[in-house]
Amino acid sequence: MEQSNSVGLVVISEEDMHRTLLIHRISLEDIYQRQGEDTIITWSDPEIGTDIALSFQEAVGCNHIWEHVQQVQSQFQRTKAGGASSEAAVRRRYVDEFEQASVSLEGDFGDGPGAKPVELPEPEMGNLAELARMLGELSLYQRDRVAGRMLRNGYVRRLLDLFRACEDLEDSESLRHLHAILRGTIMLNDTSLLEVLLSEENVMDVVGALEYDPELAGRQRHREFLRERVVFKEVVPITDAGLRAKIHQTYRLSYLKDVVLPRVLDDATFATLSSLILFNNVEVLMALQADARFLPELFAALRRAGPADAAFADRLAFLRELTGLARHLQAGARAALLCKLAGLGLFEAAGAALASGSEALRLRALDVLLAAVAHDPGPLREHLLRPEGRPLLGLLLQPLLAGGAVGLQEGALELLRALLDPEGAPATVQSNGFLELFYTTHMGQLVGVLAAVAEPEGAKAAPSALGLIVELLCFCVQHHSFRIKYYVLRNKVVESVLGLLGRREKWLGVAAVRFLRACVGLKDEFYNRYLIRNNLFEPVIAAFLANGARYNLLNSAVLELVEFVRKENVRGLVSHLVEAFAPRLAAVDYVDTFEQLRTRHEQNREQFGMRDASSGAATQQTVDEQRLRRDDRALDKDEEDYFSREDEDGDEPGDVAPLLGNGVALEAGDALRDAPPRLLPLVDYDDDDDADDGGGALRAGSAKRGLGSPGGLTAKRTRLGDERPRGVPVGGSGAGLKAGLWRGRR
Amino acid sequence: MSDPNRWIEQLKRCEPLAERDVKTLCEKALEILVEESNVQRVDAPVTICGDIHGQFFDLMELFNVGGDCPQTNYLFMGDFVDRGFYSVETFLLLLALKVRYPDRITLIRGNHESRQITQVYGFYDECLRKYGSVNVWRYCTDIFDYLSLSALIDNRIFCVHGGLSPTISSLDQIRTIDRKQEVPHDGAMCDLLWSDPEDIKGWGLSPRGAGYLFGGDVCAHFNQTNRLELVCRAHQLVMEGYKSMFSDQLVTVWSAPNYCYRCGNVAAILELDEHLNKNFKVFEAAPQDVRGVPAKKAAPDYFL
Repeated sequence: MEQSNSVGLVVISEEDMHRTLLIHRISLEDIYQRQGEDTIITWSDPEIGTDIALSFQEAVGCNHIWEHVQQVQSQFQRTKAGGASSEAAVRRRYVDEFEQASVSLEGDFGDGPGAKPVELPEPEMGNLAELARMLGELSLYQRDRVAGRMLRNGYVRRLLDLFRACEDLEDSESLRHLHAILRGTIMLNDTSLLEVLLSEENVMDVVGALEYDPELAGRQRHREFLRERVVFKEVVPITDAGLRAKIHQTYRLSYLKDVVLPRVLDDATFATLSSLILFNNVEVLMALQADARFLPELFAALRRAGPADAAFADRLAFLRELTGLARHLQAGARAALLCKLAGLGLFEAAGAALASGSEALRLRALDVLLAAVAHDPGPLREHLLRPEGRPLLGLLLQPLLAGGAVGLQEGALELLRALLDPEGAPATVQSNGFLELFYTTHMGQLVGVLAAVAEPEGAKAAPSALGLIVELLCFCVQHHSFRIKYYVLRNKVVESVLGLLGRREKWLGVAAVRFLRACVGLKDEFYNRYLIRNNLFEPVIAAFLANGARYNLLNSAVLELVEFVRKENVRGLVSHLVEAFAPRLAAVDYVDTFEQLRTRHEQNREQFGMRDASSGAATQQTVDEQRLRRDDRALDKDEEDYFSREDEDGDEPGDVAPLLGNGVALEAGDALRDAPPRLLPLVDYDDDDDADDGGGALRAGSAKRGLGSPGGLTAKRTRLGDERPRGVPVGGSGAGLKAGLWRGRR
Repeated sequence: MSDPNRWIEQLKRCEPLAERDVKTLCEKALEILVEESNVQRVDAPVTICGDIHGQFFDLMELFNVGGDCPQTNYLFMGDFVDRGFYSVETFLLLLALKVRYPDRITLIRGNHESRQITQVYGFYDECLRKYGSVNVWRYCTDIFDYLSLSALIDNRIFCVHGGLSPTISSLDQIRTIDRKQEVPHDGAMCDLLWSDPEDIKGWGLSPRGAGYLFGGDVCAHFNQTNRLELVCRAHQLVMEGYKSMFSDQLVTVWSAPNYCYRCGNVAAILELDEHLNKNFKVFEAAPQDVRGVPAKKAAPDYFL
C-alpha cells in the first residue's frame, strides 16, 4: 500500500490479474478471527462496514497471511512500547554501552515478509534435527506461538523421555540436537513453559540435556553437582513439602541462570529467570515468616548453643541469607519481617557472634546487621541504646581501633555510617539519643586513634583504620551540623587529623586534606575562623609546598581546596590564604590558581572598602547567609534539645566547656542583655587573645577591628559560647537588634 | 617468589586471590596510584586498550596479540569490570601488573569503575559469589577512587575513557579535580568518564543520562587549544574494534571481543611506536576450548 505508513491486504483475481478484489488496511484493533480448519480469516471491516471472510485453499497459506497480520499488529504495539521504553531510558539515570547498542539493533528483529508459518514437529527421534534447527531460527513473533504449542499434550515430557532414551543409547548426535532444543526452549522465554521445565519431575532431565554442550570439551556434570555435591542445609526442619520444593526450585533456577546458561542467555530471558527467582524468594520468605514455629525455633537454637557450637555458624549463615533476601520484599513486608527478627533476638545473636566468634563468623554477623540497617537503622539504634545493647556498639567499633581485625574494618565503617546517618526518617528521640551516646562515649575512642599517631608511645592502628576513621569524620562533618561542630572545635579534631600529613602513607595525608576540605565546604564561618585562628592551613600548605610541582593526588586535592575557596569566594579564607601564604605560594606557577586567588582578594578589598576583608566585610556576608538559614528552619528541635542538655550538665569537665556551658552562656547572655541595644560591629576573632580562651570560643565584637565598620560604632567585647553571628545584630544593616533572632541563653 | 609475582602467576591461571592477598595488593596499589596525576604522562611506544569488561580469556588473547607486560608498555582506558564472568580476576591481574611494573602499565578509570554501576552490572554480585562476602568489592571500589582520570602520551595524544567536558577547555583544568571520590553525577570528572563523540555541532545531551555528546568542532578546538593531534577513548562498542571520527582527530578503541559473549564484534588495540605512528591490531574472542569450562561457581550449600 503506498499511502501513509499502513500495511494492508490486497486480493487480486487469479483470472484477471488486473482486477483487484479487495483492498484492506490491516487494522491495529484486534478484529481478526480464524475459523474452519485454520483456513478462514474473518473480520468486520470498520472502513466499509462489512463482514469479510477470506478462505484459503490450504492452512499453510492461511497461516502465512495470519502471521503477517499479527506481525503488523505487534509491530505497532512495539512501536508504541518502544516509544515508551526510550522515554524510560531517558528517565533512567544511566544507559550503558550494551543497552545503547541493543537499541539500534531493535529494528532487525522483524522477520520480514518472508517469515514462514511455524509447524512444530512432533517430539520424535526423526524430527530432532529439524526441531533444533527451527528453534534456532524463530522470529520474535513466532516464539509465543511455539511456546504455546509446547505446553499442549505433554510435549515437554515426551521430549524429555526422548532425551532419556537417547542418553541410554549414547546417541551423541541426537543428544547434541536435544541440547540445542532445550536451550532453544528456554530461550522462548515463556514463563509457563519455564515452570514446566523446572518442575520437580522435569528439571533433572532438562539440566541433563543441557550437559551435552557441543561447544564445551566433554560433558558437563551438572546433575551430579546438583544431586550429590550441593547440600541443602536445614537449620530448622521445614515441614511444608511445597515450601521445600520451592526452595529447591529456586536454587536450580539460579544454577541454570548462573552456571549452565550464562553464555547464551539474552537479556530478556535473563530478566525472566531473575524475576522468577525473585518471586520464589519472596514467597518463601513470607511463608517462613507466617510459620508460627520456624523462626522462634531458630532463635531458640541460636541462644541454646553459642558461637562455639558448630551449628551456630550455619544458623548465622541462614540468617544472613534471610536478611539478604529480605531486601527484595516490599517495604511493608520487609519492615514486618525485620521487626519480627529483631523481636526474636537478631541483634543479640549477631552480638554473640561479634563478641566471641572467629573473623569469618564476625564478618557474617556484620553482614546480618548491615542488611538490617539497610532497611531501617532505627531498631538497631534502639537496641544499642538499651543497657544490654551497649556492649555491641563497642564491638562494632573494635575493628577500627588499634589492633582491630583488618577484614572487618570496611563493614564496620559502613554500619556505623548507616547508624549515624540522619537522612531519611526525621530526627527522633531515638536517633538523637543514639548520636548523643555516640558522641559522648565513642567518638573520643575513634579520634583517640588518630591522636595516638602523633604520640611516640601511642598504640598504632592499621593505616586502613586511620583512613576509614577520617572518612567517617568527613561524613559527620557533612551530616551532623552542631554536634560534630562542637566536638571538632573542642577536641582538636582537625589538628589530630592533619597529623596524618606526616605519615609515610601519602594517601592518608590526602585524606587529611579532604577532611579540611569537608570543613571548608560547609562555608560556616564558625569553622573558618577556627581554622584561621589555629593556623590549620599551615600544615596543608607546607605539605603542598614540600610536595613541589609533582602532579599527584596531594597536589590536586590542595589545588581543589583552594579553587573551592576562590570560586565560592569564602572571603575570610580568601584573605587568610593570601595574607598568610602568598609569598610562599608565589613560586607556584604551573597553575594560575593562586594568582586568581590574589586577584579575588584584591577585588574583595576594592568592593568592600579599604578595611581588612578578613574581618568585618568577610563575615557580614556569612551572617546574612546564616540569618537566612536560621529564618528558614528556625531552630531545629534537636538542636534546641541539645542545648537544653548542655545547660543541665553544664559543669562537664573540659577545657573549653566553660565557654560553651551554662555558666558562660549566661554570662554571654547577660553581657548582651546589658549591652545597649545598638549596632555591634561584626568582627572576627582577636589574634592577640588566643592564649586565654582555650582555643574554642569565638567572640562577637571587637573594639580593635571594629573601627572601620560601616556605622563606625563599636561595642565592648562580648563573649559568646556559640558562633557569633547568631542573634548578633549586624553592623551596617541599620536594623538594630532583632528579637526573633536573639537567643539569650547563649 | 615475591608477592606480586606470585599473584600474577595465580591470576594468569584465572584463579582469584585470597581475600587477604587482595587487601595487601590494594594497599600496595594505593601507594602507587596516589602518586599519579589526573592526566598521567605516558611515553611512547605504548599500546592502548579499551574496555575489557571482565572478559578474562579475551584479555589473555589481547596479551597474546599485543605482547606480554612488561615487554609491551600498556595503557588501559578503563571499564575493566562488569558484564563478563571474570571481573575479579581481570581487574586484580591488571592491578597486580601495575604493582609489579608501575612504569610499564597505566590504568585509568572508566565509568564502570564505580560503586553504583558495579552493583547493577555484575561486579558486586561476582565478588559476593566468589568470596561469600563483599569485602573484595569494597577493597576494589576503594582503589577505583584512586585511578587516574586520563593520560597524555608524549604531549600529543590525550587518552580518556569517555570523552570531553564542556567545563574543561585545557588539560590544566583537570589538575584541580580531587579525583578520589565516587564518580559524580555531573561535572568535569563525570563527563570525562561518560561523554561520547557524535556527528553534531557543539554539545548535545547524552542519551546515557550522564556526560555529553560532543561534535567534531568541539574536538578540533580542544585538540588545537592543547596542541594535541588525537583524542583516544573507549566507552562505545564498535563492531570493527576501532573507529576514527572527526577527520582522524578522535579514535574509539574497543577491546572486548564478542562483547557480553554474544555481540559478535571484533576487538582492537592501538599500538603507537616511538614516533606515534598508529597500528591497530584487531583480534577475536578467545576460542572456547581456551576458555575452559568454569562459567560461574555455584555455592556448594544453600539454605533458602
